[in-house]
Amino acid sequence: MGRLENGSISDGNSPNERRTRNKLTTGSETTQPAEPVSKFPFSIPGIGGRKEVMPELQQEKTRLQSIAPRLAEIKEIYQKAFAGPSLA
Amino acid sequence: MLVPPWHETLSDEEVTQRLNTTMAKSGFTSFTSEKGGRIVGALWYDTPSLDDLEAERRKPLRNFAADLQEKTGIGTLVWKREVMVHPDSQGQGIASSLRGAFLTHLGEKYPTGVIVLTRMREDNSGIVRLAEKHGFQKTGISPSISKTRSFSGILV
Repeated sequence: MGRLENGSISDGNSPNERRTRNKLTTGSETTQPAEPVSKFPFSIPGIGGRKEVMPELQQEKTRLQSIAPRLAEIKEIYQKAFAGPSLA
Repeated sequence: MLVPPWHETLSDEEVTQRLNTTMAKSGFTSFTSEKGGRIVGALWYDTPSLDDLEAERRKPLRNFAADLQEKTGIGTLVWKREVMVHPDSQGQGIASSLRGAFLTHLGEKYPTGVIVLTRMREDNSGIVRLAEKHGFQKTGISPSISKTRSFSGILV
């Protein structure tokens, strides 16, 4: 919706207004406006805002990480991954 | 149901003991794969000295590694231990992802090269073929009391 500016209707899209939207000027510094920060890690744009993604659909994340604080999980996988009759 | 022959049934105490022994090894380093905040796979390695190799696998492996060091001029030994993936997440590339992270890490940490050792049961033919495909060579060393055989690879 347009707004009244200097006696004329502005659609908010004049060159000056676009420049003002695209730049925040402080003294001699020019800063681009920050991207909006999503509080939830996953959002799907264009379909009506944030949408929770089920954990099982999340991407696997592989990294260097100590197993010491996660020993209970590691033990469970160790047992399940290697479970079966031993021939050793 | 057919159970692959390289599997073992391990008690909670056995697993705890193995993990504690493993984590105490020199240069122990681990990688994890997570999905939805849960660990679904892990890989770890350590950096044994020649003395460590001899203590664990007797003189033949020490001599094998020492020969490799002399031939290649590469001193660092890395022993890749377990690669494990939760059965519910197997077949999804988790093990490959872990190996990839491991190799990238080694390349960054040891830019002049490293000798990678690993061992596996020789009746686990799938994993043996995979190791050979990735450039591992059989050491020919197999302790008589088990079906595990040592392999070595050189990453330069």
